[in-house]
Order: sequence, then structure tokens, then C-alpha cells
Amino acid sequence: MPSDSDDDLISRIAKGDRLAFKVLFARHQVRVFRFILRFVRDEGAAEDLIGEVFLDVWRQADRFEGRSSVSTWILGMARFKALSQVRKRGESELDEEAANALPDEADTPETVAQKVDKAAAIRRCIEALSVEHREIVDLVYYQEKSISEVAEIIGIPENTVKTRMFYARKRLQDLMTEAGVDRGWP
Amino acid sequence: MTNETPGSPDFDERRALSELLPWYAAGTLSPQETARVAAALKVDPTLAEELDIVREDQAASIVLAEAMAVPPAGTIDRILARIDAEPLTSAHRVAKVKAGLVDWIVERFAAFQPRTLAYAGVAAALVLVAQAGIIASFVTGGSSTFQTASYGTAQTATGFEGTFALVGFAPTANAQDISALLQANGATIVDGPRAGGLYRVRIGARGLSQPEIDRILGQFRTQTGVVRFVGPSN
Repeated sequence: MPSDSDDDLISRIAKGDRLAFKVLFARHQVRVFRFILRFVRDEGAAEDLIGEVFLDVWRQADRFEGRSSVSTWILGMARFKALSQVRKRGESELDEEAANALPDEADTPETVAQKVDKAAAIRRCIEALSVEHREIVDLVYYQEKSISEVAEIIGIPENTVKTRMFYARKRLQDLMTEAGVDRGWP
Repeated sequence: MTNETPGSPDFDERRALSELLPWYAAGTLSPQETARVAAALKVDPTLAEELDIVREDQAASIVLAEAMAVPPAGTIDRILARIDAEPLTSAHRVAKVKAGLVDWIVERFAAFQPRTLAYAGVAAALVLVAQAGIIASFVTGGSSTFQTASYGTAQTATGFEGTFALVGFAPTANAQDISALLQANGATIVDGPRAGGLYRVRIGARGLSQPEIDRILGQFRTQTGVVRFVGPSN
């Protein structure tokens, strides 16, 4: 009776086991899809890309060396493909989308506070972070990646991971203050 | 952020602890770093307040992510259709050839007469090889010997759960007979041979009832041409 750890599934996929491939896909599809969607902001494009990512899992399973977790390996491939897609589309479109997510300057802090509760304000401000900051926030909180895993997925040193996350939190706090919510940090 | 509280860590340490808080909240720090942050939280109330803010951010981030779309139904089918449409990778080709070789070896040995084969252990080992899919050197080069799962390997020790029996196969049993008996009873050799030439055989799921165990062991005992001994195993 074969076990079903990610590493075991990859070993079986390397031998052409389609059932193992389906199990691995079912296990990771939602998180990988959402990770891609954060970059490309288009569900159709995200579906195409998740297909590309898992095709590479099928083709390259025999080359997986187990130095990182399987999910980290997959997210690394997903990030590369998503960023390539974004670069093809052009940065201007991305900047426009980010600008659209910023808090409405016509709102005074008081009216914003009236419109939304604190949790909703935090969510709105997270959406307004730069792509770089939203990515690391997502990797740490939603994808639950360790410092070393984030470093591997993004391709930056671990100290930079910690610093980037710190400044993402600071930027989030600045946006919260602009929205009229002072949480007392930093 | 403050470093002015008496007894609190110095500025650099305070900043380092602050940087670790998101991973502390997510539970993805190493045990050593977790202990370091936990110790600091006890003596620095400002760090604890900062952790509350981190937890708010964490909760909001997860809510946002969970509100996002999921892959459309049928995505996996479309990926599998693309896999079918492209040539096999070299690794998949090798795996397919290996699987074919196992079948070929089992058929060949099964055709031998008992006198030729002589030892039931060889036949059982072949079945073990075939079942585990473990075979070496036939395609990839190297020495042309079998690599069987030996007693106590990770795969056999930890890869199986269920109800087990100890089985000794008759000297006249061939691989085909052993395979047929195991298949008829939904059984699998998981390791061996142990002392006395006994094999550990999985006969069903964990927690099989005693009457069911007795029934299956009875099935084995009736096959006197294939089985010389059968008994329960832990």
C-alpha cells in the first residue's frame, strides 16, 4: 500500500502514475491557482498557467531532488510563469490595477471608518499593497511558508525576506493610518 | 516599536524579534526561534501588542485569499488531455519498460517446473519484487542482480498498515501459484523472508475482525500445495 506524502506522489509521478498526479493536483490546485491569480488577475490566464505548472510537474518529477518541499517547488514554478505572463502584458496595466485598489482619497478618515470595520479596512489596505509586498504577505500568512521557503520561491536571501516582510507590514500600517485607523505600531 | 522598556532587548534584538513575528504567528519558525520569540514576549509587552497586530493582518490575509476564485471544474481533465497528447518523457519510458520487465520475469519463472526452481523463497521473492515494483539494473545498467525489499526497510516497516499474517510457502510453490493465492485473498507480501523462510503478508485493513482473520487464514491453509505454514503476525 503506497503512502501519500507529496514526496511519494512525486516519485510515483516520475514513473508515469496518473493517479498520483491527480492526487497531487487535487491537494495543491487551490493554493497554487490563487497564488497565480494574485499576479495575473485573470481567472482564464490563471487556469492556463496552472496547467503549464502541472505539466512541468509531470515532465520534471524525476528531477525533483527533495531539497525543498514539493509545494515550495511548485510555487516557485508558478511564480516564474506568472511573472513571465505579467511582463508580457506590460507593467502599465499592473500599475493601473494597483492604483485602482488604493483607498479613495475623497473619503475622509472618518467616513472610511464609518464605511468599514477594522478587519475590512485591513483587507482593503492589504489589497492596496504593492505586488511585491502582497506576494510576501500571501506566502507567509496564507501559503504558510517558512523564511527559507519564501527565500527559495522568490529567489532572495533570507535576511531580505525578513526585511521585505517587515516593510510590507510597515506599509500596511501607513495605509491603515491614512484610512483613519491607528493601531499603535510602529 | 520601542526599545525603552527596562529589561527589554536592545534595539537590534528588538528589531530582529519584530521581523520574526509573522512566522511566529504562522507557526513556521524553527523550534529554537519559536522559543526565542516566546521568551521575549513574556518580558516585552510592546512585542505582545505588535503580535496582536500581526495576527489581525494574518487573519485578514487569509480571509482575502479564501475569498478568491478556485480553479474551474475540469482543469485536471484538460491537463491530462495535454499529457496524453505529448510524447512520454524518458523517465516515464524507462518506468514503463521496467514494469514490463517485472511482468515478463514473473511469467518466465512461473512457467518453470518446481524441480527447476527448487526454492519457494525464490518464487516468493519474485512476487515480492513484482508487488513492490522494486527491480534494479535491467534497464539502467549496473550489476544484473535483483534488489528486493529487505526486512525492516522504511518501505516495508512504515509503508503498510493493516492486518498481517506470517506465511511460509511450500518448496514446490511457484510464483504464479503464490500470486494467484495472494490475489484471490486480496493479500500482499510486505516483507521477508524472516527466520524460517516466513513472509509477512498483509491480509486486510487494520482492525479486521477475528472471524474474518480466521476465514482468510483458513483459505491459505487449504492451499497445501502452495502454503506450508500460516499464522497470525503483529
